[in-house]
Amino acid sequence: MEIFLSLRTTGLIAGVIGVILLIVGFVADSVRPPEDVVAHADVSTSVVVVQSDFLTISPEGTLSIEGDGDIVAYTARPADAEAWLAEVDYTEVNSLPDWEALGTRDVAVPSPTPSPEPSSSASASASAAAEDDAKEESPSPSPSPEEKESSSASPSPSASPEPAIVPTEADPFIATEGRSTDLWRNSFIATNRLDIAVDSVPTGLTLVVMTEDGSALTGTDLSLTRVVNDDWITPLLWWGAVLVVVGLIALVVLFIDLRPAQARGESWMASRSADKKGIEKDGSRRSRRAAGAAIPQASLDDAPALTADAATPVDGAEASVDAESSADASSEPEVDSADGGPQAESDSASGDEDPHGNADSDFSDSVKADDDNVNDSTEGGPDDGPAPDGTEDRS
Amino acid sequence: MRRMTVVAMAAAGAAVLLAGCTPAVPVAGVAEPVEVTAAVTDDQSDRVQSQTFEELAVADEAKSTKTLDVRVGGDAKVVRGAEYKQQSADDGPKPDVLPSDMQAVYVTSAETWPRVMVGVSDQPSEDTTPVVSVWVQDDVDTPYQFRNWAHMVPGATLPAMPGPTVGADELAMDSTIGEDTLQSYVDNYLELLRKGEDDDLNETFAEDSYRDQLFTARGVLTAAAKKADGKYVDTVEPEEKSTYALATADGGALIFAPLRIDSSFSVEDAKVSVPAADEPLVDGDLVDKVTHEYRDMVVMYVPPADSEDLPAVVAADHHLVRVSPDGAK
Repeated sequence: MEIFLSLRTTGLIAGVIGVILLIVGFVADSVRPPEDVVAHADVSTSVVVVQSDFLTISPEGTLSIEGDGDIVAYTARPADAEAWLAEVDYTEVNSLPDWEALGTRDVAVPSPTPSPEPSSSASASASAAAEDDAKEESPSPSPSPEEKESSSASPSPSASPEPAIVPTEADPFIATEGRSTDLWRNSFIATNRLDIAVDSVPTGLTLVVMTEDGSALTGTDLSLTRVVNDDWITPLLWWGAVLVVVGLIALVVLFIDLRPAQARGESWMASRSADKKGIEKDGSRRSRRAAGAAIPQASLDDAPALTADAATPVDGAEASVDAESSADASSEPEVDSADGGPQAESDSASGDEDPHGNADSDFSDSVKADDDNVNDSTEGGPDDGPAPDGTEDRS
Repeated sequence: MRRMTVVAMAAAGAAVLLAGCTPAVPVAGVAEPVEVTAAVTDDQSDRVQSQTFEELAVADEAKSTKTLDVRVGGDAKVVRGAEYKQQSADDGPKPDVLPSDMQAVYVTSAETWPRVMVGVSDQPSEDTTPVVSVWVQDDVDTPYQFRNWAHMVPGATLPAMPGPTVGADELAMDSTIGEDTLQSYVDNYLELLRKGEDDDLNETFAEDSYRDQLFTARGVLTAAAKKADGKYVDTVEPEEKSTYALATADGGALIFAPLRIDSSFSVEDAKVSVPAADEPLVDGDLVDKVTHEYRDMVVMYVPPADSEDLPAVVAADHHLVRVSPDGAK
């Protein structure tokens, strides 16, 4: 009864623990941060630079740059890129302060130089506007949108100072602003948004991204993979569920009348405890032992009878007796010897056949039967000693 | 109330657990070094070469240097222009054939400017040796420009150079091989050109056909001038600012030295004339004096200090660019 109660109590406790584990698991699952992260930064320059070291943050990620119009990215040796960047304002993406933000650094040309950006207007109308300006010899570097609209509607082919050559995927290495492109090794080009797989940028090279028309870029993203060590959440939920089930079972048992079963269990337990207290059943080995009937009493006085019945030579009987004597000499209690040795079966067998203790006849039979054994064993000579088999059979 | 407490504690515990399991924001490491340390990769040099020969092809077609703007400049543009003029004369010589196929391209590993790139072409024909072409990039904003070329001296061999992945070190002209600076090798060779084959310096350089032809022409013109009571004088000057050197694989150097050579021929009481092929190059009226201006290119190999080989001119060309009555402008 106590055990049963303790099991039920344990089950209830397990259920409570299961509920706690489930709560922790579900809460952890709900607040688990996403593995795919995109860090972002706004930029306002026409050139964005990413050093090769920074790209090691997300070797399998994707770097994206957004802007209006055609966006071109080039790679170059760091020394070459540094020399090229000496004459432009640019934004360097250089750190990851947290998972959602990119750290940037704006670098301006130290000395006043002519801006590489002809206009902040859209590229489609900028060249036409410049052409119109050239034709009209207008000193205004940035015409109004209306002017750009009108000029783009009727461009003057004869007034164009420079052909409008822009980088394309077929030939991305077109010199812009009169600057050489011989330093660039790889190129990436897209419109409005340029996605570059980080692993497509050769190691050790600096990535320089710019707009084709010199307009400002608007933003840059870097996709990252955040490895969250959340392998424990699912097992936690499973263990919680199992424990809750155990607790529920214990709870159900709490409301079931188990007294009949308890009574049967108690009587069974009582019978078990009665055995433990020494109430032996009739005919049981324990009861026979308690009565002492099954304990063979070997004595030298029985020897003649044994000799008369025995079909074997006296020497064999004598050897048997000697062996018995020798066994007695070992001062082992006979009962213990019968119980403890492997020959206990022969004892009990004879006891079962004659539970009232006709031990002598049985003993004679067994000795008769064993005489051969004794002879056999004595063939080797009495000095062989009391072989265990011979000793036990005789007892 | 108790339930709320349990939930709150569970949430806090979960948050703490997750905070411990969420990795820190990664920081930038150190990227692998650049695989191709040379200043230009094969793709880049191919791009430069193809644009150069496209530009040359257009100019050759038009027989004009007006379109030689981005990829061709310097002495190459001047010499090519002179060749176009000579070609315009009756039976004038055709411009040098400059093969676009290269059997080797030598690039520098320099991270400063100017930078040099050298191409060794296939042999244009059986009668002509391969052409050594030199491109120079003055700074990061200017393109590699084809500046000079010279045919290899018959029998000469160019030394082994570092591969295109690594690139060759670009050597300053005051750097030394043994005890002598690279500039001193150039100066000694020019001194030999000025003094002639009888000078002791003749023994310090391996034989080459370039100076043999120069000495032969000098002898002939000197004798002709003397016969006409005239005078023949030639001057040889280096263009040090346009002289470049690349380290060879064996520790020597390959020097690319442009030269200016003026040869003045004058006679007494007579009028000089020039061959018909050179007449398109005449700038002015020739009377008793004529000066030929040449833009030459000499490629010299200086072996390493422990070598027993002599410095040798392995490629050189003698390009006439102008003929004038009064010398160089």
